Amino acid sequence: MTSDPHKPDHFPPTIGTPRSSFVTDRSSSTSPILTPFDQHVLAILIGCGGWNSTSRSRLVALAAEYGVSVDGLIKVITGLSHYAGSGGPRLDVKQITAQHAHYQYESPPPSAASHTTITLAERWTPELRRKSYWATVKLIILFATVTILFGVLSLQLLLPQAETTVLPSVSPRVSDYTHQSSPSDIPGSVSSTTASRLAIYQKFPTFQGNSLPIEAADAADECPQLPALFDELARRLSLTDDPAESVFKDWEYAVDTASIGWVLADRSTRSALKRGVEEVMFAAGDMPQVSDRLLIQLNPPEFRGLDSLDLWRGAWEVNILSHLGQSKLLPPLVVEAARRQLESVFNIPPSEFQNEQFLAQKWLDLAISRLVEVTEYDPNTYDLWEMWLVAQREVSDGYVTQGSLMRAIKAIMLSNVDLSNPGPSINVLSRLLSMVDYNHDANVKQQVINFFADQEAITTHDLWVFTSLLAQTDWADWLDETMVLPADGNFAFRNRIRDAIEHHWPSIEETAASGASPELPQINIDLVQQWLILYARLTVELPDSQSQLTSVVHLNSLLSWSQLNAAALSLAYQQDEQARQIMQNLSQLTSDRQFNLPQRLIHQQNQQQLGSEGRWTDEYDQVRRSSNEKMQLLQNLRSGEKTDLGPIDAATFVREVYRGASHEIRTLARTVLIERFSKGANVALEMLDQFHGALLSYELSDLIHRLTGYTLPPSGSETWNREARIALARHALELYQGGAPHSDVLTAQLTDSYLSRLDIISGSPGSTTTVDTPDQAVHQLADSWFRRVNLLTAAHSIPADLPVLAQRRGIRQRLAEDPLQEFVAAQLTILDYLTYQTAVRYPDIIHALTRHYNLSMQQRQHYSHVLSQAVRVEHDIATLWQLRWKYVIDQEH
Amino acid sequence: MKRNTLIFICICAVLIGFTFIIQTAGQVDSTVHARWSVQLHSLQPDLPLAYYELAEDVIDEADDETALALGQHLFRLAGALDPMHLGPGSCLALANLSDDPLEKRRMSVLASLLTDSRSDSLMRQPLNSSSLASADLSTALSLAEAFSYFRTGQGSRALSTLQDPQARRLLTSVSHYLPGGAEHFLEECRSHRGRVRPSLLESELIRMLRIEIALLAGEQRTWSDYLLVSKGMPLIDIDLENLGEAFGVNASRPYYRHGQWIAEPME
Repeated sequence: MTSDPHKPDHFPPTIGTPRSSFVTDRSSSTSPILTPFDQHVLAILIGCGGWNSTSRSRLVALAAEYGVSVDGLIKVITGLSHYAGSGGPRLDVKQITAQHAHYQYESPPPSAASHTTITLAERWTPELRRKSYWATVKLIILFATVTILFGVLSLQLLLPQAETTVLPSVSPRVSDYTHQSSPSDIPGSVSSTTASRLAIYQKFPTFQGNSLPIEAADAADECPQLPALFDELARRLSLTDDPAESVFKDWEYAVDTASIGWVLADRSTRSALKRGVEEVMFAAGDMPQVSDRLLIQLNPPEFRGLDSLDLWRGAWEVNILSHLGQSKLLPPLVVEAARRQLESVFNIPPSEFQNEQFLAQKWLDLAISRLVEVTEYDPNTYDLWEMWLVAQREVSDGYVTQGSLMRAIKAIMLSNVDLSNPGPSINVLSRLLSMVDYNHDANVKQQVINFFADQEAITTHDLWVFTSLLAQTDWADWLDETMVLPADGNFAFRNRIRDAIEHHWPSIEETAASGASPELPQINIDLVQQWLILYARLTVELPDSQSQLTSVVHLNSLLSWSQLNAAALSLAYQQDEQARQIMQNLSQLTSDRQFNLPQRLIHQQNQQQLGSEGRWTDEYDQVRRSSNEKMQLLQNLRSGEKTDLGPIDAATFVREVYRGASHEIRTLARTVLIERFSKGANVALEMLDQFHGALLSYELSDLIHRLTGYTLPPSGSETWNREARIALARHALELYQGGAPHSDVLTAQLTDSYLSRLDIISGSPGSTTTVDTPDQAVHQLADSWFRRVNLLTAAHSIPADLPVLAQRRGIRQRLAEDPLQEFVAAQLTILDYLTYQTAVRYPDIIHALTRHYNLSMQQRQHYSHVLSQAVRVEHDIATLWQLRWKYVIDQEH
Repeated sequence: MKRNTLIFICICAVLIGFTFIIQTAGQVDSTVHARWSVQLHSLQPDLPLAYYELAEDVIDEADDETALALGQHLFRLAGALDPMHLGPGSCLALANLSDDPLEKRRMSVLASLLTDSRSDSLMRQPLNSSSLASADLSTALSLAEAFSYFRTGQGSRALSTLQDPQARRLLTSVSHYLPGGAEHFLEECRSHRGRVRPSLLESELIRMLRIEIALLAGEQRTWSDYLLVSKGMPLIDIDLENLGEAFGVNASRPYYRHGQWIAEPME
């Protein structure tokens, strides 16, 4: 090989025009314009001493670097050689280097294969060009051999073999670029080309089932009417000890409809359904045979013979049973019966029932084995799985738990189905795998590692499919082809792959610290600044530990802080519009007046009293012996506008309501009461004060129900007396106060505020179960926070490890003596979990978080009123957000 | 000159008097500790029982606030150093010594928790000790009927109903919420008999109705009901992982030297 680069014999014939922008002009004395590529080519040629094997390999690498094909490279070199041969101006160093630093690159060492190819080409090309007999024979032999080889290979390719079916992959990850991994990349791995290890399917496996069956849609349409039906059933049950068969039929219909329509119903309808069921069970509480028969209808379906709607039925029924089993309103017999039913379904003691969602989720998890069993042969298998996923989402605050997904995945992999064959099982597996969190969930990591350890149960073949699917997608973007277990890998290889996966699995705290959290994307700095201003404003108004403010003032403050925290949560979850709205409302509220009193619920009533006080009583006393005249006087009351009576007349009138001499007088008096004096405060008070000793009867119970609007237990029950008295007292109080107490109105608003925070964090508005009070709402919010922090693994657990925080929560719940203290206990749990999460996400401010947490703990010991304590805790929660936002803003600057 | 001298002497006398008072106070303080100085100096954190026994001795002989405070501190240290064995006893002693109802309650709760932690039953039964919230409903009904009798001028019947000791106790427990208190209510019952109805202000009537509902409602109480019956008692929050904080003492300073509690003795 000559080193003279100008000898044209050493260059293959040029094809086309040279690609470079190299311009030759023999007549011109100006130097040519060299592109960087040209310069580099020249530099290589000069540096390697001309055209030789070294320069050739470097030029090939350079061409690859620039994306130039071999032909293009040859054209460039040809062009340069023509220039040189034409006697153009000499190219000096400056032109070649263009005053840049000398290009440094590392070319891959020439492989043995390329060297051999070049040697062969150099040797045989001249010979084959010769026009001689033997040259022709050699050509024939050569091409014949190639043809035969090609035929053999084609035959092999055409025969169906799963491992080697090579069809265009839909994934961009499987490229035709051959990569030789360095042995040091993977601990203990074997260096090999990896493209042939993947299980590749003609069509990438997945599925989409029908999650909107017509029956469910129809049932969802009927769900809004069901609460009224439940009310009616409760009323019918309260009237008799031996209800008609139609009651049970209506109950069965209502339960069946609710159980398949609930998924598509909104939150308020679901809550109303739950309340309706509870009222029916309350009404039947004194009749064990009736209540047992009603409860049987709530038993979830058997797994054998399960259809897609049964999945929704079962989840709802278990949820309802669990709710009944924890109800504090129902008679103990009903509660006990509900728990027994659940115990028989799950075979676990009631002490392990955690909450309603837990049991519903557990039931759906139990259904997995049945689903896997029928996957391959049930024609509706995809609908089954789709409904399962939807049900899981709806019982778990809008997402399928990672635990449930992994259980289902493991169940499929444990089945005897060959997952390398296209079919329903691999389609379901693939879809489930696409939903798993491979970056943030420590439990998922552990379970995946355990797959490899579970040698007897999960086969290497299944793990090959598992790793192949992950390698071909970006679900686990850190897992590449090098971590695909070969289908025939031995135990040692299996362990190596397991170790590789464990080694490459992202560290949970690194992921969190990098801010790459799906829950905390980029925040709107302007809105955050507004939030900080509001925070400062509210802090100024914060009452101290010993302040003697009224309950209304405290509740107003608590509501404001809760709204501020809702705004913070909206910002964190990038719901900017919602955050803006909340802050606008809050800003308006705090600027109008320091502590705004809410609007009362004013009952429109005409308190005009009849005539002069006592006159009617005098008239009535005069006709005491004449029933007809008494009736007439009562009739006189009936005419005219609705009014109240004075205290004396009210006392006389109510005496007749309760103890009228004859049935007709009592009936007429009761009619007048409902028609004219239902909003009379004096009459209401007399109804309460003369209640003791009244003759118990169904009519009286019905009268009190119609007067007060409260549903009473059956008149024969032990609690009837007390419940009736409460109803009358509440009725009288509302009339005297002119509406519901301010604190009750604020309490309802507080409940809504916490529910809105729950909607934000769950990402699924309307997904919460029945909640009537702030303590119930904050308890659910605390549960939701727990589910989120449970996914995190902290390098430094602040304020404490999760098990310790759980123990603290349990102790606080035990120490709480009433719902307000339970509320504070749940708030403190949220404070714990939010501190934990903030420390994981923002480790730089751990010291500030620790100081704040300790200070919070010290200061709240001094609060002497539960509401001021609650306000303080809510403020401390807001301070965590403040620390976070300030850090983020500092980082931005 | 004479006048100036007199003024000067008065000022000196005042200064001397102040110095004497301060010294005396210091002597009293140091006298208290001096009395127990030997025992205090001998206290070692690995012998927490000594702290407890000394606390009992100090309390037995305490005749001023300083001695009382010393005794309480010793009980706190004993409880923090050996919560398992001395914790409940220390808590009960501290509850007994404190005048603050919140502190009493806190120490009682801590004693219960420490007792339960010994038997590994921390999560077992709720520590519901609110007498009003857990009042017997039949007693509440009796009291409510008494209110009705009173309002309708049947004071005798009201008093008759309140002869039940439980009902009387319940009336006393809601005294703070009744116009004029429980005694005034009983007086009014005596005054309004023969259906002579009392003249109640609307606000007074509303209060009576609210307390009646709060007592009767039981588990169905609203928040406003609970605020009435519980008087807004705050949640007792105890961290068993940080018992020093729970006992209100710095358990890392168990040595007494030269009038101070320190972490490590110099000798």
